[in-house]
Amino acid sequence: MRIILYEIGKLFNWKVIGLLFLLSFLFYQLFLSFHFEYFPNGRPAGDHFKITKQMIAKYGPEMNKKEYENFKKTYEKEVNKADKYVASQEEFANAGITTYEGFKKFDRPSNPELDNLKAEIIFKKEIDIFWELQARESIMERYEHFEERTLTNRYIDNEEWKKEYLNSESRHSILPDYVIANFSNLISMVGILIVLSVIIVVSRIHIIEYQNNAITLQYTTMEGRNLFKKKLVAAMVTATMITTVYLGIFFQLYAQNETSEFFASSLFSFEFNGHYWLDITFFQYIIASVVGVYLLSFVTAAISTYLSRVVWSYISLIGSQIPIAVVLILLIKEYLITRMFGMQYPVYLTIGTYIGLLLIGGAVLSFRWKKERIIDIV
Amino acid sequence: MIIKHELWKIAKMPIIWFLLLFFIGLNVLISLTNTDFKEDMAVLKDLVRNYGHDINVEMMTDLGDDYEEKVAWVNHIAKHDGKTYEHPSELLDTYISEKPFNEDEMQKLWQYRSIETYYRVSQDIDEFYQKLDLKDSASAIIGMYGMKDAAADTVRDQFQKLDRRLEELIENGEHKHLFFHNKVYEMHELLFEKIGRALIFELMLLFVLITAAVTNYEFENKTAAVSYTAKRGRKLALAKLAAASIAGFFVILVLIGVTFTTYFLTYDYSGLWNVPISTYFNAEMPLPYITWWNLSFLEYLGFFVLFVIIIQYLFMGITFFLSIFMKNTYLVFFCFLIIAGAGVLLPEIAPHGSNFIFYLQYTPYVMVMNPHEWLMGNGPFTIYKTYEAVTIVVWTLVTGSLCALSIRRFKRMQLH
Repeated sequence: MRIILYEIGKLFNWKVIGLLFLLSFLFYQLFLSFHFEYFPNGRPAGDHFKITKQMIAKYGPEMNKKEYENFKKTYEKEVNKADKYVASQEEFANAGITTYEGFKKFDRPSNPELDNLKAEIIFKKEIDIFWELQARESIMERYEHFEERTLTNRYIDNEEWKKEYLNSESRHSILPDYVIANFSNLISMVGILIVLSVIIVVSRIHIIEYQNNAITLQYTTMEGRNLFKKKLVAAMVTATMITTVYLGIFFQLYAQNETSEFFASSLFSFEFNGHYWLDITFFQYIIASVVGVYLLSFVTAAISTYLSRVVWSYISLIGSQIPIAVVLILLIKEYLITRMFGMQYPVYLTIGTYIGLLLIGGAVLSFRWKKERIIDIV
Repeated sequence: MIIKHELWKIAKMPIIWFLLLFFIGLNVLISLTNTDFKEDMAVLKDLVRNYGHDINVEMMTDLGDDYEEKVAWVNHIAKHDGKTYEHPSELLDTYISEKPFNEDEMQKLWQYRSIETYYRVSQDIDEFYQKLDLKDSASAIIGMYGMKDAAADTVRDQFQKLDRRLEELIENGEHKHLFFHNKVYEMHELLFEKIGRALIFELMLLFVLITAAVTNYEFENKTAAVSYTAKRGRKLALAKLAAASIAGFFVILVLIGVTFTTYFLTYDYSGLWNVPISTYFNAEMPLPYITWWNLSFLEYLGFFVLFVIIIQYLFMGITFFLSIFMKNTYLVFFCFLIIAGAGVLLPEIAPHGSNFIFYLQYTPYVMVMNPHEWLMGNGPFTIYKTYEAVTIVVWTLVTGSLCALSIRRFKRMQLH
């Protein structure tokens, strides 16, 4: 136990911690801050966000047919308000436009001056009601057409899934697609940051012994021959620590996006066009992503420990980690974390890749462990 | 002769060879991402062979006559429905789901459709450039980045200069040349942005590793106390830098060589090498690419390679400086990456109203972010005509003196 603690202590020397701080800061500025600052991004996404939250407060995570009727009534009421606004505008009234319908349909060629005025009302004055109506219309459009959209979707080549989707309760879930996209972007960037940090910290675990010539001392003792196992435990504990701290900070930051209302909504939401294989809630999706990040962190730690033992110089260590980092980053961005369980890839590919990575990690370690006790040290 | 031994140290690092192979594989994969369009692109080759790439009145009449024949054939095979079609695409759109034609006919139709695109887009070029107003582009950029005061003035000013260049470009007829229809194929983006940027980053990693590893070699192999206690030994720093330069050049040659060979064997550019890069067909965004000078594709490619080489040597200089003072490859490597990240972020600290948002772009780290816009007035922040030249000259001086300084300092440096 004491040795494990010493090992962990050696991994976190102040230079490495400083490196991690700088790296995380740069990473945050370059890849993460945008998704916090601009969420939801502009209008009408912001209005859409507000309205869907109101809907959840009113109807719960799902909106059934009856509740939808109620939603339509609210829409009518809002349209009435907009009608009044349009009617109160002199220029429009003079041109015979007194309703929201007319205001919406009106286009440029018929009267450029009035069109400029319309643009001013929407984009300069940013009268809320028009943006909100736009958001409500998009919700209604999606709610009414998701069945035919699913049936005619040529990219989903799985009739069974379509049936399951159309019969499930969850298809009435209220969950805007940009909420998932935003979370998925963030968590995958955090996953990449964690993988890189684990590589930086854990990769030193064995190589520092070569560099200090301590290896000859250690491997002549019984205790020393067991060091590989203890260092492995230290590496795993370190990886867990790094992952936990990063994820903890990340979720603190993520709280400012205020998406907790959607936690109970399913990924089968009508808002999505059916982009996910599994009928799980947003909260379960978050858990799945977190599990994924932990698994990746362990795999990275395992491979780094192995490489650190078999490689003799820093340059070879970094050099051999580059392809691993590149492949892991590409996989994370493709389907391991981003678009996890997404339609673009078969669901078994995601699970299979995780299992494959874990097997590789386990295999290299056990392969090395068998050699450790009898291996020549010069 | 010492250089030869230092070179040997680099050559004996298996990881350099391994990484080189990995990057070659990666680049080949990226190169092959656009092969869906290969058949389509072949049509252009025929057009260029028959009519030349220069779009002028004579060429357009020739092409037009030929096109008429094609349309006649289209109407011939579509006889049965009694309508006349003006273009192959109309017929294709009408029968998109039914497909009443046999395979040969379909293939021919698709081919004609490509010809149609080239013919019709060529017809519209003049009109497009008449309507093109760079003032709109300037205000769009100012709005998009929330620029104010001096910064906004600079953008307007620069776009005015670009406007003058645009007039000259139109006068030269640089915009009217046949080239891949890149609004669809995005070949410029593939070659200079995707492959180009990948090349730059891969070479950067290799350069940093080679330079750091050979410079720190004696410390990491416990020979420092032997080699650096002699007077001759203290001059090794220069030999190491020279060896790294030679090895770096070899790496550039291999990686760029193999990547471009794969690329140009996959996509046939024959007959297109001399097409100006500013031609309308090369445009991928609403604003077509406008180079500050009249450059052909081949010249542009040449400048690209030249810039890549120079920038890699700048990176080498910076790494060398870091290595001399840090003496640890691991630290140097990550320090370099952090400096690179900071260099990219640096412009963001400038207030949006001041000209510093432009001045802080003059670093190789920013420059490598958009290799597809080099020598062009398209990047809003790097729009200056002399951006590339100034960056390279200034940074060559800076890294040159850093290297000279570290070689001198190394002669009387503490070993621990």
